[in-house]
Amino acid sequence: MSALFIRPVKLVTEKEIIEGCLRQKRECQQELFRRYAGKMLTVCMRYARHQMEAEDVVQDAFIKVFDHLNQFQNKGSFEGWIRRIVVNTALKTFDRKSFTHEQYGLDVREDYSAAEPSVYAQLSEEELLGLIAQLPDGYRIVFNLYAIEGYSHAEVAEMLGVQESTSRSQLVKARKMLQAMVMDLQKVAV
Amino acid sequence: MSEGNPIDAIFRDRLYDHSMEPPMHLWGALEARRAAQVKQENRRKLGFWLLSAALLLCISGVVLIWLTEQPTDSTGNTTPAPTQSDAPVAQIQKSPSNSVQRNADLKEVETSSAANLSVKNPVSKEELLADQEIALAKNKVTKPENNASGFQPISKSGHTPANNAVSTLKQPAASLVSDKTATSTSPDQSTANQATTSVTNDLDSPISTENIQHLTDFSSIDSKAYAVVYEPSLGLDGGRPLTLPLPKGWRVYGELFGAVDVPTRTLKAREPEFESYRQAREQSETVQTGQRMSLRFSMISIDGIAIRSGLSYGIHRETFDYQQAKQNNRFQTIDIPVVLGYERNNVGKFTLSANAGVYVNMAFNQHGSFLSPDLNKVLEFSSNKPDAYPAFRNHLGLSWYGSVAASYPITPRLRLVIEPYVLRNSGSFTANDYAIDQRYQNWGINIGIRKKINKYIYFVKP
Repeated sequence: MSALFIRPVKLVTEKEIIEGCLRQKRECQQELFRRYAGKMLTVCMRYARHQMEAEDVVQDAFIKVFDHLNQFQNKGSFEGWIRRIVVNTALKTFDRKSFTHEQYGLDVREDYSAAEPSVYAQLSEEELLGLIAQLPDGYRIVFNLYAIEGYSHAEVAEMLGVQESTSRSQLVKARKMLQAMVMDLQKVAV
Repeated sequence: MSEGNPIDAIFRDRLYDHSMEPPMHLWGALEARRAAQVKQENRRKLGFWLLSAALLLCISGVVLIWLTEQPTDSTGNTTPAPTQSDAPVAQIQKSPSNSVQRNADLKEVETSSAANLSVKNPVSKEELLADQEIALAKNKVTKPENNASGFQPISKSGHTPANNAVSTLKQPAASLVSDKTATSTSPDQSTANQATTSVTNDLDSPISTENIQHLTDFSSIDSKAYAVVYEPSLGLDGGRPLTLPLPKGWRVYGELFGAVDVPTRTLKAREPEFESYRQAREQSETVQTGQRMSLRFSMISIDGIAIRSGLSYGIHRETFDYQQAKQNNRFQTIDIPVVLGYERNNVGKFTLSANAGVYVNMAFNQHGSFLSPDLNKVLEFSSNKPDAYPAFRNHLGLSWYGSVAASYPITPRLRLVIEPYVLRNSGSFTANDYAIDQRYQNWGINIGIRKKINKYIYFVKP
């Protein structure tokens, strides 16, 4: 259905697309969106509370991409550059206060036995996203930044304006919650 | 980094490069937001330029008024203002090359025979007198008592035979009569000799150094005679200044209208797969009547040519009714009409007119709900909410306008006007990426009053 609004154009290289976007060519902007919107929507889905919020973040992020494309210097991966913008935009959409309030007082169940990695392998990507979406905002963001995006605790702490120790503890709690949720899923399946 | 943790690794491997199918409206919404950004930026720029232009116009207007104001002397009498034609005279006076050329011309005249001179001018005395009367009537300036002898041919000759002929025709009558009595007409004369003829006729005497000096002496010019010839016609009546560059005889009216407006809507699917969506919208929405208010100014010439412009505000509603959802959708426009017309007076007591032109859309606001293109939910659209579905355009561009009107006097100064009209949008109300092309054609009747406001437009000196 998405093809109804997005008509792909035959642009060969990424460089051509970037140059076209810099000249404000609509078809190039459309092509750039077509190539990266899917992945970036997944990124946003991991950070956002629900799909509508994720779509808003994608829109905001791509507007920034188009507005600041002249700042991309061809030194790294273009997709990585877009991803950084998307992640930063997602983080800005969250109220930092609610994040700080949430980091305390959440009880994590300790009555679980660790699930085998093979159990995770049986889950689809959508189910994995569903598990992440069930995490509280603080846990979800730290888990995304550290476990999936690959930032260090120092970087996560700086990005979120929290202590490094907070980032570590939130990550541990996030993992535990995920394991508990997977165990619950396993029980239901059995 | 989380290299060692198996849970982290599983999530990273499965989700880092995972791609979802973006929903169909995402690109459309993004593009609409960007277009809105660009339009806002353009609007800001346009506002700046319009403001600058308005300021420039105001300053120019003030300067024009100031320049057209005639200075008064101590007795309160008005004196003719200096005119643009001072410049060439002063230039001649200052330019040595012109003086040299003039001397050469005059010497050439001296050597010409009297017989030769007598056949130089092809224009008859009667013709010249008639031309002079027309010129005087046009300028409505007092005929000069004395001819500023020798001044005019010099100031306007410009070394070309054609200019000499023109300047000769524009001389005051007294001068022309004396000139023409000494000449006779001949159709076969050469244009090259006209210059010498004009100069010689004006001087009518042997050329001396004194005469040459006199010809280039600006201080000897009779300013009234000068004004007769060169004062530009600005449509002044008796030398009174105007503040509007309106030709004489035009009437200006202010008109206030209210209208009942009946829009007819056309929905067209942009792609065949949206046909069912179009039908769903047709079924879920009902177009209601609208209203329009207009303030208009009409400038009408003696010949009945009318130029009309002003401001017009229109609103129409549509009812959206789908399952549990029910809402009144509103579409509001602010337009500037630019209309030309032809008006005929005294058809009985009526004045009739036919008009055609454009409405330039300045603002388009809309608010309401309709079905989403995938038919599974109700969407809100609004020009004021950035999060609303961006189905509609922010500006409608031009609309075509046609009308006929009749007015009838209800008091000596006020007329009742009834004006049936049709207004058709040149483009779609909806954004290009939206599934449906939505257009309107409005039929309506303007009912209002018209008042002549000439006296508020002209600044007439008592």
